[in-house]
Amino acid sequence: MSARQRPEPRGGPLGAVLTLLAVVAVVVLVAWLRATAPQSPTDTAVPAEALGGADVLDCEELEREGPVAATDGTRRAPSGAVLECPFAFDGLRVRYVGEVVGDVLQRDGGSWVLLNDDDYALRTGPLGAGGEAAGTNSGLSVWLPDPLDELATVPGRAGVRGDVLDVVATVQRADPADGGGLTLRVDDATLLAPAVELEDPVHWRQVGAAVALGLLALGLTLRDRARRRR
Amino acid sequence: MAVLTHLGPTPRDTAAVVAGLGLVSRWVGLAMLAPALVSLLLGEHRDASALLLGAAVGVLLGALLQRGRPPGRLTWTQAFTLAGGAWAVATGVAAVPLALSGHHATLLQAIVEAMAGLTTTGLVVVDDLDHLGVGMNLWRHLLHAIGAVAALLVVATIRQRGQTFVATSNVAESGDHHVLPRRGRSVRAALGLVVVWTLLGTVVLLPLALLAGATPGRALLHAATLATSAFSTGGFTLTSASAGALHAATVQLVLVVLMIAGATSLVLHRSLWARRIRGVRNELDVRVAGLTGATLLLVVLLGLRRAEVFEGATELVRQGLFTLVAAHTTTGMTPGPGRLLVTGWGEMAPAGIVAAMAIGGMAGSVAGGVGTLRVGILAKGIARDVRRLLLPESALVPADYQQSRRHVLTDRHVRAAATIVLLTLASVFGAAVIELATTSDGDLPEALFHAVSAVSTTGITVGFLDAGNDQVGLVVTGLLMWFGRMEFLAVLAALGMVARYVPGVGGRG
Repeated sequence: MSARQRPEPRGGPLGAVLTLLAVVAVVVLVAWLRATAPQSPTDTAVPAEALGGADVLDCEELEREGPVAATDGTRRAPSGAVLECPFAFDGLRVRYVGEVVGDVLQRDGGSWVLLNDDDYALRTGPLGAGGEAAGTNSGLSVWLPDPLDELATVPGRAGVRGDVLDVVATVQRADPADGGGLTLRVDDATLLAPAVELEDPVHWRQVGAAVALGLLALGLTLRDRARRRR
Repeated sequence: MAVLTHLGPTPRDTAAVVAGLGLVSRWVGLAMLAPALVSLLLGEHRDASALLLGAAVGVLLGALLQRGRPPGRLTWTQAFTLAGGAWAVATGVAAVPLALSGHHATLLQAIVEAMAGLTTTGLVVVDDLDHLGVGMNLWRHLLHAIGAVAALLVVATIRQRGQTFVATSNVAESGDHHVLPRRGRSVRAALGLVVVWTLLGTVVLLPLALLAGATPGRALLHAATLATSAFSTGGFTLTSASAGALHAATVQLVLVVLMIAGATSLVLHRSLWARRIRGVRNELDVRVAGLTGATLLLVVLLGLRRAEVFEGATELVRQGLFTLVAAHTTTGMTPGPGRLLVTGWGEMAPAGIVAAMAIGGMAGSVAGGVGTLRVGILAKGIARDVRRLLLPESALVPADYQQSRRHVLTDRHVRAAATIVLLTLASVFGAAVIELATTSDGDLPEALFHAVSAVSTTGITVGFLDAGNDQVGLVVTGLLMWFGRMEFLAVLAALGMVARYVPGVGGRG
């Protein structure tokens, strides 16, 4: 092994200390920017009474009382419960409330949509422009037949809480029309809350830090390049 | 012990590794500029500033670390340690914009998300993925591509030395342990493979996404992200619906092809590219992958039939085949919500999925897991030992296997393969016990499923980890992904080098 092939050790303990200090500074900066991020003033919560209050189906009740507990589309089935005991919900006509997210996939006779009923959809609003962290998303694939699919016009995405639909649908645990996926086949739907665009105030501290560090990085890169040319 | 201390990494080794880490930090930072531009163009100002800040941090940290001459040709020690450390440094830099996106409750959550991206695990820990900005989502997928290139780079570099991928990616056969070749050729090989397959996948998936009903812009996004994720055997997707988002069998069929391509070894890619097909079926990797794939598909389909999950054969095969391929290639995409695997698929089918994840893809590919080559070598080793028992003591029992060329199977190969299998098993059980001890809900089967999913870098999520609240679970999951991707020994080498500078531990204090 020739010396040419190996870089000479430089910096030593001072370099290690400087690097550690830089890492700590980055962590502090990121934590400070997170803590000072401005919140969106837009209210996106769906009224609690529209969600049916506490009248929601769960697995225990279904196992105890059987399919009759669903009372033919009048009680709300949260996606979490449907995924927890899919066999118990199979074939039941239930009420489901959720936000249209992602895509509205128009096909012959209707559209496929993903309806999320998590906190971001119904309570706290989307993250990114504020909002409160409440875990990962939760929702179900829904088939909206013509003309009900016209209710789903704006899907949720960054900065937008999508249309919130209140649907009555039959749970298909292994829907042949979707290659065996778990779906809801809708026969009635209403628009509970139209899409809302979130006001997203600029995080000036973050912009300032990005510009300052960006210029510093650019300066260092140009200096290194000039040194190498020499 | 004194002798061992002197044999450890020298200051020159450390300097080379640190300079290499600087290079990694700088490149990861520069990679953020592309999604930052997308965010700027789409008016996602918060994500744009987060990505620009992350880019600046990467470049600055790189400049700080890379003060020595950049590493040209590395020794095995340096390469090993650099590989282990590179994923850690890249994860730290990559996590900066994620932490500023507002979609992670804690810094730790952002770090684990970055680790899931770079290790091509694809375990989803991000909060509210469905409202994540386009630029930030592209960054998550770019992490998969970077991780795939890095994994193939390690493979391509070792390949040039004529090694066999058994223990921590390789067993030196030539006895040469000095200098690795220059990185230029390896980088081109790794980058070329990932770029060509990803572009090809995007071109094929775009019209299928349009036919599925997506708008042109969304179709392009779906196509690009799905292709990147599938070939890199990652598993991140644009929405929480994973591979079921487009409700299209044709899309899932293309994804199956891309996932298998991602889990195919670099050697095999080269053979197929050069149309040297004749010897391919004799490769141990290919034989084991075919055998385990077919056997486990049968197990999954029988399990689904036994649990009466699907009525029709079409649904049975579509769901079972896609999920098995996603598990065996360690991609981890699912055709529907992952939770259904443990609540609606009975017991036998999930067991088949767990076995597929643990075995993983071919050695020398992007895929994780124990690797089909090691499984084959262990099986051949056991068969050889059984033959030895049946023959007189003086009898010679030769065994060999085909992997690019003919190799004589030695005890060293078997021991190396067994080491990785044992370390994997130990980490899975250890992680499951820790996670069960620190969380109030969840049961052992789910904990084991989660641990195997993480250590094999598969990333199928069954809802066991509560990323926002379970900090211990996050740490364990992050470590599993790191150890799994680096096959344990490289990480231990990197930690060993750090420990060397801790007073009283490494002999320098």
